[in-house]
Amino acid sequence: MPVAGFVVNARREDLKAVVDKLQEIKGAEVHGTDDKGHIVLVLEGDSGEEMEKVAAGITRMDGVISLHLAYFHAEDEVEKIERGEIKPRFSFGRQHEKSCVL
Amino acid sequence: MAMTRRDFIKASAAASAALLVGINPGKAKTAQAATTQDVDKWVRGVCRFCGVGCRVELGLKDGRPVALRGVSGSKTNLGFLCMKGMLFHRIMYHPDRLKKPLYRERKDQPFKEISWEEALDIAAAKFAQAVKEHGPESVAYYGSGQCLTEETYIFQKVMRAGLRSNNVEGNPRLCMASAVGGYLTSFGADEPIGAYEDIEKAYCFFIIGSNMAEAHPVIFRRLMRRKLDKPQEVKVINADPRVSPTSRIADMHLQFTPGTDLALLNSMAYVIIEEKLYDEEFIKNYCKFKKPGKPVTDVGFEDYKAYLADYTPERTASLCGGNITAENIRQAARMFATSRGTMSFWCMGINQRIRGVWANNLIHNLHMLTGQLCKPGADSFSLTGQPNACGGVREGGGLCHILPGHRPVKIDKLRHQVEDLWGVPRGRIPKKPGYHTVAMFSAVNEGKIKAIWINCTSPAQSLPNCDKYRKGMAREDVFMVVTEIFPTKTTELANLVLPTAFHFEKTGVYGCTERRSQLTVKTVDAPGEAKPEVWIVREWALKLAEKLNDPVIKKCVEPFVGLDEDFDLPKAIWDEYTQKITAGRDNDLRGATYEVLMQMADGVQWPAPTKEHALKGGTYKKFVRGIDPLADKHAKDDKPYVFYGPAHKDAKLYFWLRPYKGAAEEPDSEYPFFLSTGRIIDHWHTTSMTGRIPELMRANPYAYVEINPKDAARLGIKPGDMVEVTTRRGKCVLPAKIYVGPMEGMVFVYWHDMHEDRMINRVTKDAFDPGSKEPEFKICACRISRVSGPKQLRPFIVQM
Ligand code: SF4
Repeated sequence: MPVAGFVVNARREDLKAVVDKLQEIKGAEVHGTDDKGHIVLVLEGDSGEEMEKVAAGITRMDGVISLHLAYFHAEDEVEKIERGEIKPRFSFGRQHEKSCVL
Repeated sequence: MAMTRRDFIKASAAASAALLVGINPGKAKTAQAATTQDVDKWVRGVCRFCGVGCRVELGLKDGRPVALRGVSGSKTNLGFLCMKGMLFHRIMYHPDRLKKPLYRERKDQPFKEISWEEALDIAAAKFAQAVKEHGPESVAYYGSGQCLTEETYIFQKVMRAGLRSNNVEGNPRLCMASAVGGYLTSFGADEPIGAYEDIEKAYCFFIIGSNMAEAHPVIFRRLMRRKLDKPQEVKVINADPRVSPTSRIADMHLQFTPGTDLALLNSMAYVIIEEKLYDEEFIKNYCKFKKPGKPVTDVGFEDYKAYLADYTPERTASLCGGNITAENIRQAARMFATSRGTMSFWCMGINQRIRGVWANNLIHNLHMLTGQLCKPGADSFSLTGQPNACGGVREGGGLCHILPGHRPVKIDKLRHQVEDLWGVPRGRIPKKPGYHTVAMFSAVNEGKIKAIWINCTSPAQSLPNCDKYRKGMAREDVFMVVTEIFPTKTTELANLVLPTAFHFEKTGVYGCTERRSQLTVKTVDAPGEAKPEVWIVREWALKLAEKLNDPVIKKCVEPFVGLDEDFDLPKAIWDEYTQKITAGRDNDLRGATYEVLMQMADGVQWPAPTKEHALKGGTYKKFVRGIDPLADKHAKDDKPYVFYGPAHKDAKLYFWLRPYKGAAEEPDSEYPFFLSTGRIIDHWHTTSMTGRIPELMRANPYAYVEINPKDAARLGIKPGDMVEVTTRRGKCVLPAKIYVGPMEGMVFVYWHDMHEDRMINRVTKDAFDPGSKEPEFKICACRISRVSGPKQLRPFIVQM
């Protein structure tokens, strides 16, 4: 369960709407805002994968100008990788797919 | 209620983010206590994933990296990181990391694991054999802007002085070479004059040929913040054929037809002169006007003005097409000229042009014309893609024509200086530059290069028109060594694959875009038998010396024999490079010793000739008296600026009279579209690293082709349809994204996908700038046609 701290930059006029929407996200906590449109956001997810989707979704939200990472903690995931529990989910197959090589 | 460890971690996350923006962390009050709960300790380093050079801290628990954070107040990034910052641990622990040397005699055989002893012996024997049988020109090194400075420096030393070959190149040729050419010919000195901290002092930003929001997100953040803090006073002009996320904060978006950038830049100069917005004093004090040709002739302001007569805004607007009007060229020129500080930013859109050096010159012309240089908030600032293209490759001698310390190899005096400093006989380094990148891989194709060492880059994927060059790399008579952390398209073509240590698994310096050198010290062990490159080169060179019975090769690495590879070895290499080689040069780094860099959390900006100066952070702005110690040293009068750059003996800045020049391959009736390429934020370079991170792959799993809705409607292409993109060199099939990004008549493809069908560099053009030898990746002609409706696709990554 990785945990990440972000700074979201919202358009000032949309700040409240953005905060409301962020609070609807599972695993998201808003830890403060200011009048420049900054939002301190903590995300927690079942996996890095899920968190990535959520973060990407936030950058696409109306009123959001940017999202930057401040802190990232992923000890559980490190352990899962070490234990071989997390495998790349797609095949890395070696065969060449030369269907379009001229 | 008692806090769980998880609560502490969340509190830490909140506190770290809150600190960056000065918000009271509220719920995270207990954060102070939390810092001891989430990790055992934080170690400092620099992010390796792009040229911005963000300072980071890696969090260790039981000696393993488990966390990462930005640090409030860091000079480069002010503590903010982009999403790529989350990758470290997943790369470090990834099961696909290369862990043992792999070898096969023939490229159609499977690899087998061998020992380091055997591997180095084979590498030395093959290079020695090539030199003996075919001469020094038959061996080559192709490196990367991701290598540490120590690595590039030691590799090129062994190649040049040891093997007597200037065939030393690196992938910055593909992205930075035109910027180097531009700075040298315009300002007489490579690399930007100013720094990121000018952003907070600037009032106008001119962004051309760069999608900063995606390629340099943290610098973009500073710029965005500046604009949002002073929305009325600060103006942003974005000039690009494609609307990108960077355009979001622009007051004005100039969408020009690809290849017409030079005309647009000249036209802005036309307006500035016509409306008398230029800085006469600055021009008189510091500038000269040069008419290219053989020989180059000195001309005057009036000639320059006459020369620009062809570029009236009216004529230029019709040439540029898109949404450009004469009036918005005028407006842009006025904003640029009259602001209290104008900063230009550009990247590949300008550099990867058939006349990329000219395009760079023309941006510099605008800054000279308006005196938008050297003062706070003003600079002509080229962005860099890779973490150490500047520090390692541009400064450390990583291109075929330059020796370390910004010395052109063909200048006898400078070459002899280096030979003397290295203690090798004069004449040991050849005078003639080696093969530049495209020529190097052409020579591989022709079988002229018999042994090539590719370090930390994947030319089999990243060269333009790469099918052509993969054929050469696949030749059985070309021996190829690849040092890498992961399998790539290039390791597939290698005879010998050597596993290397990754960032934080070895020690060394990165020099980012703003002349800043930052040290990262080894913190964790590399997996398996992976080794730092500096060790690999030293051991290889010792074997080469034996096999070629050549004491001079041994001499190249003699000062480093026996030193511990984790710290003392890179330190000794850095010491030699900085204390001997940069002494007295414009990138003087003598003050930036490891000892100093360990103290300076944000590193040091050169020139930093003394420790005292380095301990103050070095030089924020070059050429300004009172700030740059070399400006004070070289001053001959009491003017505030001294342009002492090594390439202009007269200490002047040069205006170049450069004409408009279109793309090497313009659309025609057969190939009616412009094809342009670029990268996306979550992917970086050839995905050998970030492609392995599953969630990022899922965010943007495939390359796709962006098509303007009007063109799509005309051709009956719907979102997700499979579209064939055909150029004179081949074709790719990609899903369509219908999007107002590219202008009509242009399509755009991201170039991170390793799948054969979607690897766009197989079809881009390998024409290159005759000055910088940088290929024109950005533009070629293509046609598109719908082949089918949406199809299920499979992501593709190479695995051994
Ligand atoms: S902007 Fe570049 S240096 Fe900074 S965190 Fe992102 S990838 Fe790393």
